[in-house]
Amino acid sequence: MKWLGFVALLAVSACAPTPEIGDPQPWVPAEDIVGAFRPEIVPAAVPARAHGVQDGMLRVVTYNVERGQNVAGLATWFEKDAELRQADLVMVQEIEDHPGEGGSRTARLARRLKMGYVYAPERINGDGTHGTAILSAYPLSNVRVMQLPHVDLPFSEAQRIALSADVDLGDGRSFHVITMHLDTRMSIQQRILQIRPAIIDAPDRTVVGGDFNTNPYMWADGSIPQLPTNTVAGTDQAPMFDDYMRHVGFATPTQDLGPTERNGPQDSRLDSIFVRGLDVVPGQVEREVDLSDHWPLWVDVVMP
Amino acid sequence: MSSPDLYALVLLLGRSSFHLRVLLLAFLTTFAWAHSAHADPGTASGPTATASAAVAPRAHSIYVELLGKGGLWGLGYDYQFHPRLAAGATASFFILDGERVLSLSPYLVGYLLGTGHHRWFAQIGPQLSYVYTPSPVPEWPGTSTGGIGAELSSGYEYRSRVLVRVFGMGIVGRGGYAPWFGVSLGWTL
Repeated sequence: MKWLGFVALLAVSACAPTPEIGDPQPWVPAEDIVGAFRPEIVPAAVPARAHGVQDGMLRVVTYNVERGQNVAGLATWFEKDAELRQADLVMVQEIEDHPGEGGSRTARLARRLKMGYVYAPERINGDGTHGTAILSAYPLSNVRVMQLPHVDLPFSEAQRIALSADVDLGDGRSFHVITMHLDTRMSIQQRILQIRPAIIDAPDRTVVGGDFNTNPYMWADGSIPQLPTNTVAGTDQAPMFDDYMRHVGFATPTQDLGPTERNGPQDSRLDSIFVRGLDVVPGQVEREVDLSDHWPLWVDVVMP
Repeated sequence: MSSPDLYALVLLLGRSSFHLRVLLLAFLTTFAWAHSAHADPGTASGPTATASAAVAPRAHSIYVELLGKGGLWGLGYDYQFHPRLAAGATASFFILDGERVLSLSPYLVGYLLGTGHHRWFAQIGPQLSYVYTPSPVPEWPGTSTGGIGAELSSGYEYRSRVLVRVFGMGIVGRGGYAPWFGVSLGWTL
């Protein structure tokens, strides 16, 4: 009889509960958000520093700046690097705003790069906020924020947001941009459920970029990476995430660019850019930029 | 198992989520059964049985593994066909956040050091894994992946009526390489 009980326990242990993930929330216009989480919006200066005006291509960058404490260093990289200095649109994750620094870090970076910007706080962090930003050489409008479905991770859980805006290229041309920073130790299924509300009804011309945390692991309860399975079966979430995005009509121009995060012996492709309704040319990952645990990556989008 | 160890496990049970809690419970139950069987003089056949276990380990063993070759848990069997050699396999199936994971790890065991109850072993063998990821949304069909890798493990074994193994392991496969570890508890026959 003891064997029956033993087998029954093992059978139960083989079944995990349904992933605990919150309900989708609607997009909220920036002007409807009040208090500490109200986005900070500053339009692009006129005339804008836009390279696309000359060559018909828009350089789109995404970069997790790991709090962005060294704003001057970030700005210097964007000024001196041959590829990054051509940026027209920069999606930034993990940037912060703390009092006494002479403005939010996004504002100071945008000022150096002569760009407009929107900074959306995601959560309170100490005496300031931690959030997501878009810097643009072209005017931004229709700025909105979405609370992404909350995932109940065992530790270091945080509310995640998506930030979107319309980028006005002039002459009636525009496209939509969405950026976000997804949770860390989720399954690919939870990752899809978390991004889905932000992109499923996106306009035809949309660029989606950010830190999607598409790590190589399956996780037991968001805490134990299943290293044997990951190693033998190959469970990298990045190509699965690309596959999902292709199924909803997005091109995946960064799928072959390699790792975007430095993590000791196991570099991972956590960051991506997806494009729908616009022609795009794959770019590269700028691995010499050493101000974050992530590297910036870029693509060139053909101006509509 | 000492009282502090039990207290730590109970604390872990209280703080773990459902899935880990059930696994730990299964592991503790197995340990308790195995421990009681080992301690119960009625289950052994007196001095003769004890003496024979010390000099000639029981050849068949069945065990449950926590972490180990299956990643999260596994059920295994091996047969010792030579004083220094055994062969067996560990199989595992579990569902993580809806993803189905199946693995099979046949292996050869070599006993490198020790005799009787306490021995140091090394295991080597292939590992076959298959993962099916059903889609949580209508616009994506889901996906599956699988592969064959190799694993080498080494550790300590205690064997009498009860089998206990604690080991570290290395895995090589299409996803690169990784270190891992595991604990096995079971019975010998």
